[in-house]
Amino acid sequence: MTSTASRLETLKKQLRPRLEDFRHTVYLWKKTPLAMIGSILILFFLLVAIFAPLIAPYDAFSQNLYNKLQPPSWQHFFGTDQLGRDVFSRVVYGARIEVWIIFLVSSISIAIGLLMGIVAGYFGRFVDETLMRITDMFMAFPRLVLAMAITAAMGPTLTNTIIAIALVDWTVYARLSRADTIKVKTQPYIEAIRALGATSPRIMLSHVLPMSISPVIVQLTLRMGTIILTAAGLGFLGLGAPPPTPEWGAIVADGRSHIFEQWWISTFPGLAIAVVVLGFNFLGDGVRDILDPKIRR
Amino acid sequence: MKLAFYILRRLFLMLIVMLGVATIVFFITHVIPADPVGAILGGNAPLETVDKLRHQLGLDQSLHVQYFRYLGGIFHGDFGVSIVSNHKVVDDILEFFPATVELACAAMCFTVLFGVFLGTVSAIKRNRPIDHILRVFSILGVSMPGFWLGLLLLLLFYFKLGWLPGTGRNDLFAFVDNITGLVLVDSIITRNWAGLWDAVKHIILPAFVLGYASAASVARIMRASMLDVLRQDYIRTARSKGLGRRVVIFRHALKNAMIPAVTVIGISFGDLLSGAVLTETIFSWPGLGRYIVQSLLVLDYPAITGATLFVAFIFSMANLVVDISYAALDPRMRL
Repeated sequence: MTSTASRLETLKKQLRPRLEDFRHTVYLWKKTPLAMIGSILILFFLLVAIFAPLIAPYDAFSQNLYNKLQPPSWQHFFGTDQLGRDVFSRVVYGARIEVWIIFLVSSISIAIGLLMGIVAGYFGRFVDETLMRITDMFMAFPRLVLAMAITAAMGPTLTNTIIAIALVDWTVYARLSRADTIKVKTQPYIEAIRALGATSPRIMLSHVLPMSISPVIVQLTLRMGTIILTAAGLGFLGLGAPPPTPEWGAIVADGRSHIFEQWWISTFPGLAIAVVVLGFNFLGDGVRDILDPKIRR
Repeated sequence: MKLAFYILRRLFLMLIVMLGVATIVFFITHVIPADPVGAILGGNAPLETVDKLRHQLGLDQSLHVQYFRYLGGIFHGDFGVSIVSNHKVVDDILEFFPATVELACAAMCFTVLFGVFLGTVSAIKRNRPIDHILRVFSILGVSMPGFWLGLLLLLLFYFKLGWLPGTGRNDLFAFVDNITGLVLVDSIITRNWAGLWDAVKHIILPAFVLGYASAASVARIMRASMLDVLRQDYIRTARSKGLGRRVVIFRHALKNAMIPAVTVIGISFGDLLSGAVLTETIFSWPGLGRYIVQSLLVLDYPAITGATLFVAFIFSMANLVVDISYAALDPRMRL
C-alpha cells in the first residue's frame, strides 16, 4: 500500500515539471484571445461535422424543383438552390467532406514529407541532393496550378482531389523534417545506438522520427486552413469533388451564375469556408505566439 | 565574386529543377490520362477522327519517343498548337500574359501599401485594441476564399451600387489601342483618358481581392519583424539620444524591418505573376490563370503543357530573384 503511494508520489514529482509546463501553456492559451476564439470555431466545425445528420433538416441531395431558388426563411435557413436543395443542409453535410479532406491530405502529405525529409537528412550527400531537388521541382509550381493539373488529368473526383492536394503539400514537411534529422543524427545517442548494431531503418523510424515530428505537427495546424482553401478553390473551378458532392467550394460555384438575384446560394457556403479557415488561422497565430520562446514568458 | 558564384550555382540548379518540372508536366499530361483523345472528343467520335487527333498529338508513338520530342520542343520554345484556339500555344501565352502582369502589378500596390502600413501600426500599438483589430482584419484576408470575396464585391459594387463595372478588362466603347498589351500603360501613351479611367475602374476589384490576401501575410511578417527591430539596442540608443518616436520608427526601424517583408512581397509577386487562377476566373480577366483553367476544363493538352511550364518558369524565376537579392543583402544566406 505504502509502496504504491510512494510510487505515486515519485510519479507525481516526475510529472510535475511537465504538468506545470502544460498549465503554463493553458494559461498562455487563455491569455491569447485569438487562439481561444479559433479553438471554439474549430470545435464548433467538428461538432457540426459529427452531428450533421441531426443538425441538417433536409437531405443534402434530394431535389425539389417546385421549391427552387427560395430565399432564406425559417423553413430554409440558407435558402434553396436551383435544384431546390436546401443550402443549409448541404453546408452542414459539407463540413464532413471538409473534415475528410483535411484528415486525408494531412496524413498523406505528412507521410510523404517525413519519408523524404528523414531519408534525405539521414543519408545526406547524394541521396539528400537528389531528394531535395525533387522537392524543389514540386515547389517550382504555384500550388493551385499543380493541384489543378493533377486533378484534371486524373479526373475530378474527391479522392483525386485529396491526392492532388497531398502531392502539392508534402514539400513543407520534407524540408522541416530534413532540417531536424540533420540536427538529431549527429547526437551522441544516435551513434551509441548505431554502435549497438541498430540498422538504419530502425534508427530512422524509432529514434529520428519521434524527435523530428513535433515541428511538423505544429506546421500542420498552421496549414489546415490552406488545405481547405485549396480544396474549395478546386471545387469552385469544377476540378474538385464532382456534383452533387456538397463540397463548400463546389456549392459556391453552383450559385455563381445566380449571384446577383439569388445571392444566398454562394454566400453561405463561402461564409462557412471563411469561418473555418479563420478558426484555423486564429489558432495557428495563437499557437505560434504561445510556442515562440521570445514572446512566451 | 562569391555572389557571382552563388548566382551561377543557383542558375545551374534551376536548370535541373526546370528539367524535372518538364518531366512532371509530361507525366501529368502524357502518362496519367488513360485516354486523352477520348476525353477530348467524347465517346462517340468516328475512329478516323480519333486516329487523326492521336497522330496530331503524337500519341501514336511510344512513350519515350514522345518524351524526347516533347523536351526537344520545349528547348525550341514550341509547345504545339492549342486544340481549342488553333493558335500556337506560345502565341496564346504571349497574348494572355500582359493582362496577368498588369493585374499582378496593380495588386502589388495594394499589398505593399496595406501590408507595410498595417504591420507597422500593429507593431507600434502592440496589444492595444487597434493592434487586435488590424490583426483580425489581416487574418480575415488570408481566411476568406478570394473567389467568394470577389463574387460578393461584384454583387455589392457592380450590381447593388453600380459604382464599378462588372467583369473583364475594359468596356468595348472605351477602346484602347494595343501597343504594349498593358491597357493602363497603353491608354496613358495614347492619351486616351476615358480608356484609362475605364481600365482603372475594371482593375480595382480584382487587384483588391488579390492584394488583400497577400497584404495579410506581408502585414504579419512586418509586425513580427518590426517588433523584433524595436527591441534592438540601436533603437534604444536612437531614442535615448532624444530623437522623436516618429523619426526613430520611420528613419531607423522601418528600413531594417522591411527586409523580411521584401522577401514575402517578392514571393507573392511571383505567385501573382504566375496567374491568379481564381480571381481571373471570377472577374473574367483575360490572363494566364484563366487560360490555364479553360484549357484544363476542356483538356487542351498542348495548352495545359505550355501554360503550366511557363507559369512554373515565371514562378521559379521570381523566387530565384528574391533569393539572390536576399543573398546580396545578407551574406549569411549564401550557403
